[in-house]
Amino acid sequence: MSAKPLLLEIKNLDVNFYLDEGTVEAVQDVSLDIYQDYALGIVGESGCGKSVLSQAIMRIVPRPGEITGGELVYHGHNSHPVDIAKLDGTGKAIRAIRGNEIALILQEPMAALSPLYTVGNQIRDALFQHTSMSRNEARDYIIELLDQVGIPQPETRIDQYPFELSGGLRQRVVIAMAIACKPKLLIADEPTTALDVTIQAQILKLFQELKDSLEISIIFISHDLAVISEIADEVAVMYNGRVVEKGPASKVFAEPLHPYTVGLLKSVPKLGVKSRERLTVIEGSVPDPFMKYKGCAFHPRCSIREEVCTVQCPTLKTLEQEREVACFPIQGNTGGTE
Amino acid sequence: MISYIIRRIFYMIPTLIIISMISFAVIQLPPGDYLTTKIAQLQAQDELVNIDLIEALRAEYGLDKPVYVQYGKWIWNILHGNFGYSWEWQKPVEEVIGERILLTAIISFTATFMIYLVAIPVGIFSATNKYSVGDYLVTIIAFVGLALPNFLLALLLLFIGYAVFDVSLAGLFSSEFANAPWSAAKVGDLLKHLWIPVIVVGTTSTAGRIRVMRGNLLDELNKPYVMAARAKGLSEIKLLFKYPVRVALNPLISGLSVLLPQMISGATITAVVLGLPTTGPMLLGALRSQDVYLAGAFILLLCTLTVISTLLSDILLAWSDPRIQYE
Repeated sequence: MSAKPLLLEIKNLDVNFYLDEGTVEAVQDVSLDIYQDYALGIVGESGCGKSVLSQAIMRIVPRPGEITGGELVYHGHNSHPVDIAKLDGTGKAIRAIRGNEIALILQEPMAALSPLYTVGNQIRDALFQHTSMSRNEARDYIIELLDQVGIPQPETRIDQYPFELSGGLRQRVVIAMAIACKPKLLIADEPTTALDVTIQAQILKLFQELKDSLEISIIFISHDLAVISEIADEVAVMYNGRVVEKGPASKVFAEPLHPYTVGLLKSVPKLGVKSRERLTVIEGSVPDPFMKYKGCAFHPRCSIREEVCTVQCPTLKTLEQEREVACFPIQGNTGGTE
Repeated sequence: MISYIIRRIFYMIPTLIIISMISFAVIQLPPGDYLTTKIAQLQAQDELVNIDLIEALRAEYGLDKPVYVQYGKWIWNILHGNFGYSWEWQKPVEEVIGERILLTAIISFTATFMIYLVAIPVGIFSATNKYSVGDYLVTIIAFVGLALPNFLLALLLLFIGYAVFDVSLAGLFSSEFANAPWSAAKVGDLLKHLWIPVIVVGTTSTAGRIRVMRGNLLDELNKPYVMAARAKGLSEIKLLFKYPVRVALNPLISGLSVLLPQMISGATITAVVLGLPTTGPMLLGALRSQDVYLAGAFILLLCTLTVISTLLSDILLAWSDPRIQYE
């Protein structure tokens, strides 16, 4: 991977939510490198911090969430590296990046569009914000864009309201909205989750095509490892706000290292397996966001835990072939050097 | 859209006919009529009552006829522009109502304008600065405004006017203009007096609408489409007004439908306390003395305005929110 130039470096990023009930450390010490013309998959269960991470990159974490530490060094902008984490959250500098350099596709395609404006009107926003296109130029361009994301009859669709479109078409509109200004980085937060399986496959194919034709980098967030393995070069597995495993997608999928990743893969039904066989579940329950875990957050549910796991929190360590894992038993390093 | 409006107007006709029948019947429900009230009044003043004269009057006005005959005659006359005769005021109803409706309309429209002018921006501020000092201040003032009865506020303002500024704020005109014909000076005098009733009539509604605006906007502010707009790089102000505010305005638009009928019946107690020459106290008086044609004219007007303003706010809502279909 290192052959490609860097686009975004996420360094030791922390995001906290200060609630009345206590502090939630939604993202803890996450470091990830995103290269140009590259796709990173982020996988994890609900509440593991993957959506917050994507919002943090755009600096749109809703209150009372806050970036409390770390850097987001963006290299694509005028060749000067910018630390996005240090920018004023509502200022001009970050707004010049949002939607223009980095675009976000939100989790729910149904809710990400306002019901009060036509599709064209909502795609137009970013164009008027970041380019000097006229109304007519924008209209022609949007029709082209809608055609590019596979929407039939774009000339009539452009004047329709979101509620007049099917779920799959709406997701395509949201994608068109995100790529309107030809961003260098596209963050897709569970873009296929709300769709049925056939549409899911079509949308995945569209992402694949966009990645190839636009030479765009993609961060693809999902709870579904199979979906991620189809599109991502590398995959990062998140658990309770931390990256617990990272590596080339095909390898992580074929031979998971971290016990959580192993559990995730086993909990998905596979074709061709005896139908009477029960699916494996990960014992225990999703971590309590308010709880501060001593040691590894996964240890209460872990089948291979050792003494050290209950007192010390493991960090990512590189094993063979670009594979990183944060797990003492797997690292074979029970001494736990920091 | 056009056919929808025409259809709605067409539906209004049977609604109005039924309402007019019911209201006429209700006005007639109490035993006796205007003349029996009059007789009782005269007797209380130890005056001799000429029974023959009373019977002659009763026959002349058709009060001895069955209710449905009276109703038919009344409606027939209204269709010919004649609203009947007010016994209490000894004048045709149109003449009695005319100026009062104008003054009531002036107060109501000014108040409504002020209500929306204040409530919308304050509500937006309150929601976007949730739990700030400013929000708490607005919330406290709004709750006081909601809890304070209008007539009490009217009395308070009148008292402060007398005690502190030594001026009489009652009424809509100074004494020298009260019965004068309309002139530029009279309009100026009206504007000078107008703010008191506008504040009194508007306070509760403003407070209520601030809360509605705040609550609605808070619901919308965390919707994904707002985050999506932010992710496009729009400035906070631009995205606020384009996306969540427009959705949050819907209940305020549908709230407009009570505006027109409120002009007639609203703020009666306030008007009594402030001595305003508006329609509220007159309707109350007409109902009490069974001044049938005056009361009937008011109620018919009230119903017509309710139906019309509901239609208007529906059309406005359909225009503002494309999800509303004209089916």
